[in-house]
This record gives sequence, structure tokens and C-alpha cells, in this order.
Amino acid sequence: MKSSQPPALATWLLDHLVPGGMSDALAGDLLEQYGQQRSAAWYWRQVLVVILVSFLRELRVRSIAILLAIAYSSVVPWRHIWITPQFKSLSNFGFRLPWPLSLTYQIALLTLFNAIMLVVAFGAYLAVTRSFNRRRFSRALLVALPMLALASTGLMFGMALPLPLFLKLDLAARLPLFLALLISMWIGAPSATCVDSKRIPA
Amino acid sequence: MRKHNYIGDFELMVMLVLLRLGEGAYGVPISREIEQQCGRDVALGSVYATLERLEEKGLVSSALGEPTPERGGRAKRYFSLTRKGLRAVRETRRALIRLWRGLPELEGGKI
Repeated sequence: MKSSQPPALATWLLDHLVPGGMSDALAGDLLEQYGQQRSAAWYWRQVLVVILVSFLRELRVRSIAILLAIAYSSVVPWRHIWITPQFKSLSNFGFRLPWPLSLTYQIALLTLFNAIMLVVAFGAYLAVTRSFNRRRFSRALLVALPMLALASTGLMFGMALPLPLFLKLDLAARLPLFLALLISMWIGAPSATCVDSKRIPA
Repeated sequence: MRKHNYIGDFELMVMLVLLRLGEGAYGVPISREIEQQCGRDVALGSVYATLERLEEKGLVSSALGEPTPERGGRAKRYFSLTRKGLRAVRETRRALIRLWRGLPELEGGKI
């Protein structure tokens, strides 16, 4: 026997993973059709198609943001920064601390450097695209900065792996900034898929 | 030469369905009409993606209705063709008829 309620997880995914102003109406349409003798499998299939289609659409709409994040995180001269005397003295100070303070210090230092670069790039992006909004800016940083710290932690542990130096310094070191910048631009700049909500009078 | 907004086949189907349904065109009847008329299953996600694209091109407009309990308190979004959309459908029809004419392979409906 079919449950009167559609799968709750599918509805939750639909509500949280599909951006744009149409998602509410689309979710309503799916609920209406589910009430008309559609199965849970049908509902799941529809939700997965919606998520896939909207994700591909977002990728297309956000392609410039993605390219900018790749370009910016690629040009940061990590090798040069790390060999400067100032950075070395800051970093060496951390090595004199007892464990786990030494590791925490190194992660904090890397996160701080990345955070400065993130805020500069993200601020410039919003200014150029004229889409600055203080609330969205704060919300984006609230998600991006912890993510940056998390990725920097992962990177610190990754540095201990026996990988070629160019992989560590020229590729892996850029990942935290790339991911954080992409996420902040994704959250902080409005999607072009958002539509206005003109309402028909009852 | 005049610039044309070319319409894909699924876009054209959706626009024709909007014309057929008139004022009551929202997601459910649109997808049902396509299924009935074209004999193919359509995902609502694809229908909405097409409608959003058409709205961006200015060929379709939409407006929210009132929320209803059977839809979990979510409003319907009604779609209609704009003037530009209607003109695009007419132009596409004319172009297709011109291309269709005089093709012996398509005469008699054997293919």
C-alpha cells in the first residue's frame, strides 16, 4: 500500500539542493502528482532528475565564477610566499611550540593567508559584478571560512604523504583557496536562475 | 539579416502545449499533455528547465497562484506565452513548412 506522504528524504533534498525561484512550484507539482497514484520510486526518480538538471544548469550559469576561482587560485605564488624570510620566521615560530599547538598554529597560519586572499578576491568579484549584499557576503564567509580551515587541515596532513613536491605545492596547496572561493561566490552572488514571484490575485 | 531566436523541438512542444492549455497551464497539466500528445514520459524537471530557459529568452512569462493544502502549501506557477513567444512559434511553423515542402522522402507518411 502506498503511503500518503512522499519519501521525506527526497522532499528534503529537493528543498535544499535545488536553487532558483521555481523550485517551490516544482515541489508542489510533484506532491500533487504523487497524490494522484504515483509511486515512491516515481517520486524519487523525478527528484533526482530535478537535482541533476538544476545542478548542470547552475554549472552553466556559474561557469565564469568557476573559471575565475581556478584562475585566481592558480596564480597565487605559494612557492614564493613560503620561501620569503617573513613567512619562514612566522612558520618557524610554530615549530618551536609543543604538539598539538605547533600543528594548530601551522593550520591557523595557512588558513589566515588563504582567508586574506579569499576576502580580497571575493570582495573584488562582488564589486565587479555589482552584486554586493552585506548579508549574503557574511553568509558566504560564514560557510567558506570554516571550510577553508577544514581544507587547510586536510592539506597539512596531506603534506606528510610521500607525493612529489610539485603535486603538494603547485596543486594541493591551491585546493583550499579554490574550494572556499568557489563556495563563497556560489553562495554570495545571486544565481541567474532566480525568477521573480509575481502573484496572480485570487 | 534579422536575428532569430531558434527554438528546440522540446521547447516548441512546451510552447504549443501552453497555447493548448491557455490560462490553466502549470507544471502538472503541461507534463501530462506532453505525455498524452507525444506518447513519451517527461520528467517535470526537464519541463521546468525548458520553461525557465524560455522565460529567460522572453518567450514565456509566469506568475504564482495561491498555495493549496494538497500541494503541501506550495503555490502553483502558471505559465503563458508572451507576444514574442507567439511570434517565435509562428515563425518556426512557417520555416518548418517551407523546409517540409517538396521532400519526396516524406510524402505519403511512409517514414
